[in-house]
Amino acid sequence: MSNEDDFLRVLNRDLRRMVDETSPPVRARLDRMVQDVLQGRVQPRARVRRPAWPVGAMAATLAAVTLGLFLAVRHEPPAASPADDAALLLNVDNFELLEQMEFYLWLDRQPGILEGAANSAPSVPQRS
Amino acid sequence: MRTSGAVAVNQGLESFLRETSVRAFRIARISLRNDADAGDAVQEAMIRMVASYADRPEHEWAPLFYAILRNCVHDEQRRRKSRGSMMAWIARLSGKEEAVIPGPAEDTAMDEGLARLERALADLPERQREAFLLRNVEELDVAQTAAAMGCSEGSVKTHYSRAVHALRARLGRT
Repeated sequence: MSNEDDFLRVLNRDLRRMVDETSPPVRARLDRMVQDVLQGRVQPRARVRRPAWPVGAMAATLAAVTLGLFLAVRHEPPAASPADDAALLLNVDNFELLEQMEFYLWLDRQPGILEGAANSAPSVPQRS
Repeated sequence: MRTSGAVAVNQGLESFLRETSVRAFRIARISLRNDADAGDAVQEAMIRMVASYADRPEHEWAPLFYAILRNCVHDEQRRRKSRGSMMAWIARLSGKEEAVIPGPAEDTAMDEGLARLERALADLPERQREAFLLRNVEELDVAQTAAAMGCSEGSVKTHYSRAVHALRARLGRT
């Protein structure tokens, strides 16, 4: 006899013992159960079915998100992407713009220069 | 046939239910890990069997009954799952720990060896457990087991073989 057969033989012996050692109160309850069922004293329970509402809720959410995205894409002006900005600034033709931008930033930080320049326009020499 | 209350039933079917009830209870208990739920599943299977299949030939009773019992066990598992989700939600709201599902041998007096076997069977994948228990506890043949499980005979053989190997690895016996 192989090990497999021995293993199954022991297992089956234990399974039989498990059934045989079912307690008397459980056996009595099962006997009453058979009697109750045959005499129509018990009614079947309602079948448990998977509720349909989660599927409906998911479908509604998906539809709302899709509609929202569709409307947002339709009405929003196209935004420049960072890649576009980088391409614009790295263009060789725009190096001069970068250099000038540094000057304009410095100029913006100098208080009174622009106003002073406007007020200190070259004066017309007075003729005597 | 005899009439008993609202149900007209073949005398043979009554004997079948009496003989099968204890084994069916053990099988349901291993899947549900609870005496009360296993009892409910067996009772439900008996009700449906008597209501719908009492007039079927006797050799079809066992596979039919266990096919119904499988459905009842699945119903009970779903019911427990939704009840568990609700309890977990309430527990989270109240800040308490989630209720623990009772384990094997909690309700039934059983020696340690059998409790260990029951735990090993309970931990098997569902289809393997079903094939193993129907073949070994109820002693259905491969064709009857396939009918009860709603699958091919080849699938039964595969599930059964895997169950034996898993149990052997788990229980470590020769």
